[in-house]
Amino acid sequence: MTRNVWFVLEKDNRYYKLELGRTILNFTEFDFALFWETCISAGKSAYKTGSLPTDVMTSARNIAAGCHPYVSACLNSSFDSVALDCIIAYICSSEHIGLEELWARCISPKNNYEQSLFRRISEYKTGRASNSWVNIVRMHEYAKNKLDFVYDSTPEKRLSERDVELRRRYFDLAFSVAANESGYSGDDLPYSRRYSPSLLPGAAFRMGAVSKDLYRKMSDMLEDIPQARSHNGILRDQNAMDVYSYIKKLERPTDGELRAMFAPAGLAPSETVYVPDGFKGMIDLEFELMSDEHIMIERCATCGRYFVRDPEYNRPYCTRMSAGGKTCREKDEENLRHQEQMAAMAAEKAAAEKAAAERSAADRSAAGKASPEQTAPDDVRHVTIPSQIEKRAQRIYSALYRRIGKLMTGGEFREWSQYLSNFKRNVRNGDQTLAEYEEFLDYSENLYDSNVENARAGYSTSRGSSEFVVNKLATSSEEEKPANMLDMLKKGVDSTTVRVKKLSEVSYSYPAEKSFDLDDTRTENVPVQKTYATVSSNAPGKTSGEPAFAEREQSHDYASSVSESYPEPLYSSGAAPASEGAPMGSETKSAVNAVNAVNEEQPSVPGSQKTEDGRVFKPFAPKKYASVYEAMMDAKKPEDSEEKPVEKPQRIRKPDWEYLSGSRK
Amino acid sequence: MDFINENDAVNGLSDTVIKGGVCLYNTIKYIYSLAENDFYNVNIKDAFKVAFNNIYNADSLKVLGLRIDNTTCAEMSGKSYNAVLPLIIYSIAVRLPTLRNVRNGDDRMTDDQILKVYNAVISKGGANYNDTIKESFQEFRYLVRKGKPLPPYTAEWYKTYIYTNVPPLAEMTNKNMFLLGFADVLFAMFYACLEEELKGKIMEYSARAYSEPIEI
Repeated sequence: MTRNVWFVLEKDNRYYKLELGRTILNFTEFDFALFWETCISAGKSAYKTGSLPTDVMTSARNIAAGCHPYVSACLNSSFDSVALDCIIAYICSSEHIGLEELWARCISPKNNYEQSLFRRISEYKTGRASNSWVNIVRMHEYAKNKLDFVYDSTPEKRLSERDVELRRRYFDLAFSVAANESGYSGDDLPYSRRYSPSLLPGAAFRMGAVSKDLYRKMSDMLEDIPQARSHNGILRDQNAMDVYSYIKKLERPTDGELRAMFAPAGLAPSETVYVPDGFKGMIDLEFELMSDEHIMIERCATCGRYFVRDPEYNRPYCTRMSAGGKTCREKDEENLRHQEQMAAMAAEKAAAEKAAAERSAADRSAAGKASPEQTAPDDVRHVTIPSQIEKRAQRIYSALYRRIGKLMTGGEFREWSQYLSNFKRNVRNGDQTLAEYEEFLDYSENLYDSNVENARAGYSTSRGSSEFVVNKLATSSEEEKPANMLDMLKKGVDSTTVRVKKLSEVSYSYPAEKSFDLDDTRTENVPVQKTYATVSSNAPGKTSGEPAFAEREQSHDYASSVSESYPEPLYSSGAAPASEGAPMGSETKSAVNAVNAVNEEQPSVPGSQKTEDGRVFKPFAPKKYASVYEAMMDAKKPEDSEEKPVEKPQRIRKPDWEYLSGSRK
Repeated sequence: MDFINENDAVNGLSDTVIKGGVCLYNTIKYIYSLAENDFYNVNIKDAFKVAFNNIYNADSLKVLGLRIDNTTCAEMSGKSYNAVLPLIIYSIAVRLPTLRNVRNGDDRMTDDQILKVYNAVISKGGANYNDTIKESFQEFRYLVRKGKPLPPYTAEWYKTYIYTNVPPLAEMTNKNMFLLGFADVLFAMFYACLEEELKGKIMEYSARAYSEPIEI
């Protein structure tokens, strides 16, 4: 949207058009390189020939005239010598001399070229002119700075008209303060005045046809008028009233006559005409009128250049053609279309997935099974466990593994190993500390050491370990319980928790598909065992408590399984590895038998169910828990008592695996 | 002094004096016009620089925006002031014996040659109206011949003349006071520049190569 205003120069009867918005943008983006090069070539030619090439100088002037309508209007007055001014500026800058020295060099001019330089610099010296080229350059900088000051914005934070108005006022006021402190009065600085065409200075000549008609009618009254003597500004009112005295008896024509007089040809192109008395006044006028006309300029989000905002297109993209032959707006529209297509595709995909999930759930419910959900913790802080601790854990694992059926049952070992796996994952995730992990290893090591010693001594094995747990339970505060190892001890393997954060806190390094799609409004504690409960039983060689390979790979970052670094557990609810022909020692065979015997007794995870095809899963529905303790208690509850309110137990039952063989009462 | 062509030398030197006189006459007018509207726009030093670097062309001062017309120099438009030009030429002509001190090696202008130049200048327009200028050619020739110190070229005779013969300029006005002030500086410095110009002309017309040092 553009609007045109008209301006005139005091010593010129013509009207000039100013396109609001476009003019200032054109001026700030105008490339003066061609003008500069043309002037330099003219100067070099004049240096050789002794006279300035008229055609080249004219060409240079015409190039400069394109930068702004005001320059074009003043091309025969104040910007008449813009090309020569450019040459003078070039000489001074290239030879590192001042105007005074150049003037002194040309004070006895030997040719027309030197005469031109001398005359022009003399005009500078006597205040009859200034270097118009330097003025254009400085005004160019002024306009750019003011444009940036007033209209600079980002696509995220677009400006309102009020913001623009306040910025502009602030900038102009700052200029006024600086001008005042510099000692310049209002008359010394350029401004633009607003007139109706009849009140314009020189209106008698600008509206010549009507003026002649008026003069003919008033010729009797205007005879023998003495010429004005006083040009003192203080006497303006007096002068005006002296003039008025001659038209005091002016007869008013009829309306028809007036209409005939002010025929369209005799009228000014606009009801309002502006008279700038300087380039700055013209630029300031454009800024002011843009605010008045609600013309907004903003920066293009693609190319970064300013453009006039289209009120019918409320996006920050301009219509400039780029190198690819498309405008920024076209590119934006293409992007929008692409995004819409992608969104539609994503929606279709999500709908299809949702439909598939619903079908699957329906199938499962039809089969009397609930569908577990794959969950994954979001917040993973990758804590590296030192290798010596890893090796120690592996040694303990191997030592306990070798004692399956002797010191502990297969089920106890499995619980212990699952606990170890979860503990390790929690440490890696940062939910528990290495110190706690080492404490657990100490405890485990002490466990089988004491068992060995007890076995040798012929009495109960886990006295010390029982004491450890009991002491822990006794010394830990209730607030700490959900967060430390004892909670998991209380809860058992299936209730080991991981911490899940809301989606907005997921870092970029986190694959989106691993995010935990639960209620993302707050941090949740979810039993991790529920995550894995279903996955594995259909994979040969996997426990029902461990994920199948694919899932494990998927969840590797946040929950690496112990079994990745430990010997693959040999027990399975499916085909036993022993049947695959692998050599197996007697100790291993006994362990396999023990584990299989345990597996046949009951699902490994409390609350889990076994399907007809041998799959073991635990129905899981994400819930909110106020604390890990509640989650634990929820997991401990029988399924038929889910609706009962959770009550804090008076006494915490210790996990079974703490009562190793020989110590169980 | 041996000239390539003595007549050309005499004419050339006399023309230089005449042109210098005319230039000084116009320069006074230009600088006087400065006080009309451009008193604070034009630096008087710039005007002097332009005038002294263009002693044949006072119109160079136009580049400073100065104009000689009936508005800016109305006080200098009377007949009585027009007599200033022959007086200026005469004032320069009577000091021509100083050219005797211009040497090209051991060669110098003779009194006869200088007299010919003087006569040529007078015949081209120099005049001493009402004996305004007290010095004479003979007096200067005597002083030069005797090696006595010469009186400086000043604007005293000019001021005396306008006080007595040009009433508009004798009035106590800002412009007229400005005229009396700058005239002292202008006359002395302009004559110094003109003297240098005459020396150059003499060397130019001299038959002997003037690679040797010149003494005055």
